[in-house]
Amino acid sequence: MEINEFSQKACEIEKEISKVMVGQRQIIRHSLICLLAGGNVLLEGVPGLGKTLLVKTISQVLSLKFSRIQFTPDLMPADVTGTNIISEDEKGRKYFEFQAGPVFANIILADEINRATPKTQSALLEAMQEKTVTAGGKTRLLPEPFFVMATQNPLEMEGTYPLPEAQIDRFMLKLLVNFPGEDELARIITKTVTPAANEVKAVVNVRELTEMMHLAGEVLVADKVKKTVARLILSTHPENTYAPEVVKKYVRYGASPRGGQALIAAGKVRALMEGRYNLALEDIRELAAPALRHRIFLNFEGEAEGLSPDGLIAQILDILV
Amino acid sequence: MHGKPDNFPQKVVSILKFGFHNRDFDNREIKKALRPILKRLLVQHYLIKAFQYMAVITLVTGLFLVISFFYPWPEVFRWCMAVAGVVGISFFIWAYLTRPDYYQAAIMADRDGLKERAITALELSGQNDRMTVMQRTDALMHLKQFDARAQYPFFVPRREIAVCLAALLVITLCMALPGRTREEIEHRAELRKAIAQEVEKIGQLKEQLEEKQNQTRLAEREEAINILEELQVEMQENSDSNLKRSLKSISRAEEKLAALKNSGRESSQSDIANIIDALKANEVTRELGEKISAGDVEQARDEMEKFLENAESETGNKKDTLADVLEKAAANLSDTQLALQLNQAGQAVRSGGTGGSPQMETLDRILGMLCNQAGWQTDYNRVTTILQNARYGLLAAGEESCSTCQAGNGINGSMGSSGGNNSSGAAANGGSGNSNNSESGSGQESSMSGSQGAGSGAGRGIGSGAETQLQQNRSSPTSPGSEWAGMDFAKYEKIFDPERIGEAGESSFVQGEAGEGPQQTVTTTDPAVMTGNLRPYREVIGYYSQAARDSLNRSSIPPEMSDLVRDYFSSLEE
Repeated sequence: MEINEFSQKACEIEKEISKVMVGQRQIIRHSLICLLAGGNVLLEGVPGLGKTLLVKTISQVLSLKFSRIQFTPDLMPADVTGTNIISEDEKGRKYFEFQAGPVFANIILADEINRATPKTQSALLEAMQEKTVTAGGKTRLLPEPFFVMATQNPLEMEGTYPLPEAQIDRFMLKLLVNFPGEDELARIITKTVTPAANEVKAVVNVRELTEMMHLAGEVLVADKVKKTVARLILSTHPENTYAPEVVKKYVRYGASPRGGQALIAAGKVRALMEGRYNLALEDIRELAAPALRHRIFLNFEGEAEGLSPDGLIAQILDILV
Repeated sequence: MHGKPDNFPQKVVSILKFGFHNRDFDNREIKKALRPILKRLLVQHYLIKAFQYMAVITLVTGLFLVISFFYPWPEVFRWCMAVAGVVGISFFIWAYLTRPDYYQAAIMADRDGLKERAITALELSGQNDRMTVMQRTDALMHLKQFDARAQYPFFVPRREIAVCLAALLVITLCMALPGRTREEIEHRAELRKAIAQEVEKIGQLKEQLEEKQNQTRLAEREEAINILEELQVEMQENSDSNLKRSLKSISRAEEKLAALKNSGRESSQSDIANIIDALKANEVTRELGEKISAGDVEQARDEMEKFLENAESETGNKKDTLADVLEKAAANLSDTQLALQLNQAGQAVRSGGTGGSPQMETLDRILGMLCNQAGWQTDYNRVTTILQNARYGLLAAGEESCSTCQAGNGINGSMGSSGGNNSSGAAANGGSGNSNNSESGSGQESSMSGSQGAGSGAGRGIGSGAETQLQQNRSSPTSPGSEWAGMDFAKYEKIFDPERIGEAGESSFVQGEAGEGPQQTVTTTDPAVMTGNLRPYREVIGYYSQAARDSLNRSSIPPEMSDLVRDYFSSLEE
């Protein structure tokens, strides 16, 4: 696959998703970037903003098998991964048969992931990181490609189990789904209340998607850009010499090395979408907030001051890039 | 790609070759594409460095001038030039080592629209896989479309310009505003010039004395030449044009000369001077006395022979007169041996002794002695005159270049120095005299002391300098200040100055007796001390200083105290 074909396909995918999704162009773009980079996305937003619709549409456009898991407090890990059940063959002999859970799909929508217990949440850990599921002492490969798109509601925090750092770090990007504007909301209403449904067509198949992912991995990265990313990650750590004063004052934990990996991987996809063979600082600048915002933990003072990780990242970027 | 060795010597070589940040890259295409950008950056880089250099230099110059505005710094411009040179070389080296290279050109291009295409292509210029080649092609394409001229127009660094202008303003102010220190600097320059002139004069005198010495050897003259040479060296080594040091050197030379003159033969010199004076006092023998006092032995001999021949052919009175003069002079001599010889010579003349006779040989020897002594006296006077002139020349240079002297009243007239022949035992008019009348002429002519006392009494005449013409009257109506005028006399008001013994131009007489007679003190007709009055400090300081120098010259001051006295008066002269 050539770069032009890549950018053309990506453009078509975005266009096709936009047929269903009103507005949220950046969310669509970043979700696509994350999927093409082989990462998982955490979508955060209030209910009714089209998160589930987005994931569903993406699966349709990419011709992928879609599965939705609604996380609730009583959801068990086996409900996610699957379990061995006793079956009986024709001769009446009983045996264990693995009943695959909803995780065995190409795109998983883990809806309201923070409502499940940590035990259930952690059932997704292996799937997200290793792309495998282990049940009954047997490890099973998940289908390729495999993406998890999780959602969480920032408002209803009662009775939720916030994702632990180890798990949240597995998400390549955390996207904040903002409330649509007046025009967009009007268009959403118009679209959803009329009988004419917007049909989306599959733009790429699994093979093409795999090629696109492979090409994204080949994008060149200059030492200077790598060093900038490394310095950016180090700057989020309050104890590091590169850290600006605001980080030293308000940050408890900085971004993990996975943050740098996520930034580079996502940046490569963006570079290809922009028609470049190389990663640019511009890509880093755009993707720094989605890639690092869930990896930076503010201390008490930072939260009391009402700071956001996005603001800190912007300040660091102003210094570095 | 970079291939930079880590060991130290090669690292140094690589720094010298490529600069601190410069690295070499393999791909020629990408370098060629970056070259227009690099050229613009290089020109701009050197332009900025040049302006920074100018800013630093103007700042340093301004700083130096401000310092020199408050503190005298004669070599300020020389220092400015030196700093400019050193800083210039440093800036050039710095500019060369920190010059931009392809890497920085690529960064600049990326920053201005190429989005890391150039730097990626440059860094990966050694690789040739499919993706890298495609990326390089993409980068080259974008670089070709990159208009370096439009992107990087040359600009002049405003901050440096502002610094330059501010520093130039300071420099202009420092140059334009009247500063005390500038006058001080000019003063030192003039002093340096004056010292050089005086050194040259001393050198000329030394050469003349050396020529004379080659003709007639004289130990005193040889010593005087050495003293002059030493003085010349000391003054040449006085690189910071220190007036005090130069004056001290001159004073020291004067003291040495005085010591040389008086060394162990004071009475002998006095005797010879008496003989010459006796010859000159008589009308018949005056011409002979003058020839002798001119110091030329041959001429004196010729004159003597001519005198004797004439006396032979004309009348015997002349011979008798000469004999009388010689005998009379012999009666006043302290050296009995010389007196005896002179008596014999007088008798030989009287009896018409012929050439070759022992008496006439004695006369001839005395004649030679007299001539040598007279010649040395002439040389001595010339040397002291030159040294006096040098002293006053330096002081005048200090005075003329000092603005403060314009406001002063100065001394009317200058110090008349001793004729140098106020030897003890001889009542002399030419004692240490201070002449306050500036109208008394230049006084360049030197002569031996005027009148003499009779006998070798201990009387020491202290009179005016009317007959001692070694005085330098430097004051003039247009330049009322004197060597003291440069001093800050404001703090000194008026001090009591007793009137000197005798009035200016008047003589004091002391009677003396021939031989080793007892000391006799005679009350002079002039009051020794008259009621004093209050006179400005500056009018009397020269007076006292000269008296101190004279005292030093006469060794009246104990040797262990002479330095103290000299330093004290030298400090006053500063």
